[in-house]
Amino acid sequence: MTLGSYYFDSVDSTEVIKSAFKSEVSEINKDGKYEIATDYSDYESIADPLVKAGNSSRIGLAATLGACVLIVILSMVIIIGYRTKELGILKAIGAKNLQVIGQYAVEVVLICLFAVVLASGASGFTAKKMGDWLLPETTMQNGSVLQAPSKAMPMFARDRSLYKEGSGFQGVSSESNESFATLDVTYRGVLFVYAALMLLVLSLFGMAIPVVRLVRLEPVKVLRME
Amino acid sequence: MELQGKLAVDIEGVSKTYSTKGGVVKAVDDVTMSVRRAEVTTILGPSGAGKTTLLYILGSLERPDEGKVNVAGVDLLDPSVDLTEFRRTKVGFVFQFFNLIPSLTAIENVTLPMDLAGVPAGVQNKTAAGLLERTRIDESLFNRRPPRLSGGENQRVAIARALANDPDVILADEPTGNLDSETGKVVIEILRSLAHEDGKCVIVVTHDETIVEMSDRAYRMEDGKLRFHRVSA
Repeated sequence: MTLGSYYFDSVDSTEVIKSAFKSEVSEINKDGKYEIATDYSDYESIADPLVKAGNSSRIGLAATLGACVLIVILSMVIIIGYRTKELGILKAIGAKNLQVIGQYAVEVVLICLFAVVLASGASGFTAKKMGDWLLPETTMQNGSVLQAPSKAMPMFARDRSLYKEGSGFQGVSSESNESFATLDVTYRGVLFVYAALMLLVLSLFGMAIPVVRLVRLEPVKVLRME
Repeated sequence: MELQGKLAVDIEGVSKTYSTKGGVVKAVDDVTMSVRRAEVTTILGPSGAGKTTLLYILGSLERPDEGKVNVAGVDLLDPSVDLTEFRRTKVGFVFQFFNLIPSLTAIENVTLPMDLAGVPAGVQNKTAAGLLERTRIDESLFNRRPPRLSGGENQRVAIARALANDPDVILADEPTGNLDSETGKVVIEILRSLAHEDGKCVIVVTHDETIVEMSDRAYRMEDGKLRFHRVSA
């Protein structure tokens, strides 16, 4: 006897579902015997676009991070290059090496804070647009119960009997078929803090390379550089 | 004046050579010179004579190859001397191209050396305002940035900055070189007043013969060699 089919949004959540299933079954089947048959191919067919989107995102993220590292370091080297004379002036009027480095470090921290605020807005917007673009067939508008089969839904999901609360899919009404492909972007605080710290470290590193080199020179050499 | 006659600069046998593509150039060649407080001393000479190098040696921006250098009572070749502290408190620089920080306002440029020296913020602004007034900068210009000031105004702000930590010696490198003759005269008048009224030792490097007339003592420098030129009546 088949009691029902469940679709999970992650293979990691099987244990949770199993325990829920067990308690549900125990009410019907008093002897407590049951069998769970899993169909991984169904899961794969559901998860495949999500996995692909996830992989694309990771590749994009890695490429973006690499580009950011280069851009940040090169920008800092160029900016310090433009301000070489200013550094020489500071040395000429009696600034200690640590004071010079400290001043540039404070500027870098302020710029990074501004960048983080700017990036939080920009990345949220971009992520939403990209998600909607990458997952046009698999994400749907919020709605807890499937009301009717949707053309955009995978075949196996069109039968409402396949759906149970707690499954990974959320249904959509046929009335809103035209605007289903949206993605809710949620900020992960820890990830955001990691990204901000990485930006800060990279920027400080990019600043430190030219500044430390310049403050070690005789002030007159720095003054004559520009 | 009480300070008049006291030596502010005393150098002996100072030489400095540079290696260039064309060979070794002796920018400063066995220079001996003494400069008193409360006087304006001019070092006159053509471009490439070694004037600026000598000025930078006096300001500890450059280290000579040999000789003795004593400025404001500090032996600059003594390894135990903190040259950063010396530059912050004993000398003030005035450059031909002003060398103000463009992103800071006039008054912020003047408070900068005080900030580096750890002077309290309240004192900084009051002192800077007084110095800007002393160098004839109108109060309405205090919060303007250097790009929005004229050449003469920029140079007067630079003089105020040089005075920020009340140094004994003012070193001016072609201070009128980028100014018209009238504005240049005003700048030299301010430098003269600093020497005669405040007892500062003012050393001006220039190739402008007219400035010599306004100075108390003048030297001429050619090919790295310094010789006495004139003393005012």
